[in-house]
Amino acid sequence: MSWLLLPLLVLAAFFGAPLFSIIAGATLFAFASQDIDTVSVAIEMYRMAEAPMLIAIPLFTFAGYLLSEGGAPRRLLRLSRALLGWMPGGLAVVSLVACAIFTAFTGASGVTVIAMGGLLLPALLAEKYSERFTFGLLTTSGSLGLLFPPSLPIILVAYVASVSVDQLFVAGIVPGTVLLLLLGTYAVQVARRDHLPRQRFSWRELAGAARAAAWEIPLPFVVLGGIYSGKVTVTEAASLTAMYALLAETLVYRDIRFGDLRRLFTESMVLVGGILIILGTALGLTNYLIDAEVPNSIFEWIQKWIGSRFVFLVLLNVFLLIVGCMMDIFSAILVVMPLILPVAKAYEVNPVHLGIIFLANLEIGYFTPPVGLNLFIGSFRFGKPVMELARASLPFLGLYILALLLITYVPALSLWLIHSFGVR
Amino acid sequence: MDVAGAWLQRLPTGQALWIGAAGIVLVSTLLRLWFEMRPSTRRLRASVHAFEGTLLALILAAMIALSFLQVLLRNFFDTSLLWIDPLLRHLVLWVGLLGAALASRSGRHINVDALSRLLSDAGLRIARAGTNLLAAVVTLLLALACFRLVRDEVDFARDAFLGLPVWSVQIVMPLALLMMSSRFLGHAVDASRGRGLRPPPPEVRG
Repeated sequence: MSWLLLPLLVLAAFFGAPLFSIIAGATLFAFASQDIDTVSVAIEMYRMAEAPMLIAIPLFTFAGYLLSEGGAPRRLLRLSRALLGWMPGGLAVVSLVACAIFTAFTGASGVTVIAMGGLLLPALLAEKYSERFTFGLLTTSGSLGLLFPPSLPIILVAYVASVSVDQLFVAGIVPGTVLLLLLGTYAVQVARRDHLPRQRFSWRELAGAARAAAWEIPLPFVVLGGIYSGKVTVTEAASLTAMYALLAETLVYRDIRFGDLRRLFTESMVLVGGILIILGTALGLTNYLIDAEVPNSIFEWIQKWIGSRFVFLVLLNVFLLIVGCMMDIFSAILVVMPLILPVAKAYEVNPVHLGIIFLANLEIGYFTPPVGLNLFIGSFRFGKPVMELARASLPFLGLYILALLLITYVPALSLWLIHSFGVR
Repeated sequence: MDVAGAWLQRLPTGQALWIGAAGIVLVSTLLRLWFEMRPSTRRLRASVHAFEGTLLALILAAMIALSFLQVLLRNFFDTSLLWIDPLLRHLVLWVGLLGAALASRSGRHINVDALSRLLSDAGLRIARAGTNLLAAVVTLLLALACFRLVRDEVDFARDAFLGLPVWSVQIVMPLALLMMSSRFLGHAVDASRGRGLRPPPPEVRG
């Protein structure tokens, strides 16, 4: 009877049961089968209130929701177009950059597909980009910004791996930029191949766009500058961002009316609640698995077959690609990462580097079937079948994997900035 | 606070607690389904929802204001209020659980819904009813575990911050989870009657 329970849980997960209930069910089952009092699950859950780092999650999420509801996507698009639109493939490059910034700030790549996709789709098609390229670009760019601060998955990785968020925020920048450059080069190639018309650069438009976004341009500098200079902690940066965004969007731009504010408060907290309840239940499961020395057994088992770090990393990439296909990024980080962490340590993989590998690997899962979230959101938003979007994403998938390999096998990409700036 | 603590201590444990909690979930779900049929009582439901939303909004607003205040104090006045940090950390717990209760209300928990697209309407009915029932049972078990934690805390009588006992901030865990359990059960009943089977895609989810 009890053996039936776990396969049943997995089956329920694939039929749409909330993931936290699957994790909690497995945890309760594990504790009960070992005759451990299930009150331990509650104790672990209460640990949510013991991590100062987690305060950043609701604050950043709220700021992101606020920005996405107002005119920020429009202003961001105009500004990046004025800056980069003159290049061959200008609008495609603009899309990449704008999506990356937007996802980094909202931390939720589905919102990017909805908010930016809606603006970019008609613009790209009007400039004669092929449908296939456009849909591929918009479906895959949703997760592009996850490596850039202050994205939520980075904060979760830092929490799980017990490394400083400051370090991870810095570590993601070069790998994220590598990915951006690869995709940008491809976009330029496509535009050249198809002889797409180019836009002229205009100082006047740039000045106008900059004036329009004048109050939002300082935001990334508040976050990055504050953290890199060591003046503020991540939690403080989150607080400043939330306060600043609140004042800018309601008082300066007046895009958000006061009456909408309450809805935004609660809407953003639905996402936060969804993540934190998974976190709370995953803490119990992790605790059980560590106590049962599961990571040790995994290591001992793998060690028989794999001697070198290189082969371990190859397997890790493949394994995480599969995980990314089956799970969402938050649960994957919270459930899978604690198991891999000790194993990776045994192979002398730097935990910061490991975190970046996880993020780069899992962002691919957003647009791989069968459960790639952005495929479904894109399918809903653009009115195209999921499989067509998956096919259109293929060339981008290739580039993401190329970037992933670079990020995995060249640790310096992740660690160089930390060392040269001496970030702790 | 002391009165409430003493009252909590007098509640039963063991099997009686089990039956009591399951009863609360069942009765509240039945009441809600019954309410649904009467337009006049919809207002009550709306006011519960409004209360939840307002509470969440107030907590988040407090988090933004207090954390900002702390940043100002720390950076410009070289001082800080000691109670703000533990309060903020506990508000994370409150926001998380109340947010999760809200997510249960509208069926917006993070999930991987890979297979139900392949189902017929009849199959979907069973799948949705089954998964929601499972979630209802699991959250009920979680609620019970959390309730026992709260009771133990009443005995320990530790202070969290500002003289508030730890159990009084923990109480949100069993309460929100009970609420969630009742909501999942309601969804399960709805699904078995063929309602709300194909919700729109999760546009505002990570």
